Amino acid sequence: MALDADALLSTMSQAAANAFGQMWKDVKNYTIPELRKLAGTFVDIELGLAARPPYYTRESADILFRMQVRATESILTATTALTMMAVEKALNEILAAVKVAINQAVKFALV
Amino acid sequence: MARPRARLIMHRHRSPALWLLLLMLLVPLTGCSVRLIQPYDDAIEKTVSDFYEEFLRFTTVVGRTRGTYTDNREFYDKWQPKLATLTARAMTANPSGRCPSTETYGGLLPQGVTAARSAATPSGVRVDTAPAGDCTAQLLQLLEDQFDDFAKFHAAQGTLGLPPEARAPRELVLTSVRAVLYVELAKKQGK
Repeated sequence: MALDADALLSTMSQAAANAFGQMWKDVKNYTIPELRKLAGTFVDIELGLAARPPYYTRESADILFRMQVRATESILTATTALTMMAVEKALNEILAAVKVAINQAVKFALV
Repeated sequence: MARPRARLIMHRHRSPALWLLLLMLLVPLTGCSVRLIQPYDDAIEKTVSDFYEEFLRFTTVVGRTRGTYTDNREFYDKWQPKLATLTARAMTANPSGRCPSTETYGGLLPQGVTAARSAATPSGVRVDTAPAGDCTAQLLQLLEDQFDDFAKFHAAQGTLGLPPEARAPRELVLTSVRAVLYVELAKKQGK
């Protein structure tokens, strides 16, 4: 049966949304389009092997599958980095908000 | 004098809540702002942007002529050391850095990335080692490995070369390129 890129995208997006939880809304604008492109590569590999004549060799298709895992890692690592940046920003805003009060209370520049 | 921004590098991440709690406790004690990821690096943005453009041109031109790996080794000889240098630069900038949760991605890959890599790697072929460094270094390592595999893919195609209809190999490399650029540009814009 031929691969369905939309179904693949839906499955991958749902899994990523579950994994990233509350942060998903902050990063999905990057992640979903990338996952859509990734889903397209699954379809292309299947087409390349099924074409007459095939435009991928068996060995090169094996390498492409390994590259797909790595591309997925790139997307998820970037998504993780973006969530870390959001956490970093939130922490620094929290610190900035309490800085004056804390420093006044301890009478030196603690924060 | 401006207070220096110290880097708080977390080495072990048992749970996100514990990790954040520790961070909240440490920050006031050290009297500094938090940095969880290395700052924007102009060299990364420029080199990776140049690679993006040259790689697109290379795949378009070579795809048009079904060029083989043997006839185009010069391109790989130019870019493999450049990308390796960027990875080394990022690793050196933060040698003890980590990118939290990238072994299982919050449960998305419950068996772990290493297991997923092993499953996708034919027997007898080296499996990528566990990711090292902070998120920036890991993204660059992934791009470097991705381009190495693109070269192997091209070589494995033999006389088929890079057929014009083959979209996957180019798109898979560009996915790793965009991941680096997206994060660097987000840093630059202070998002």
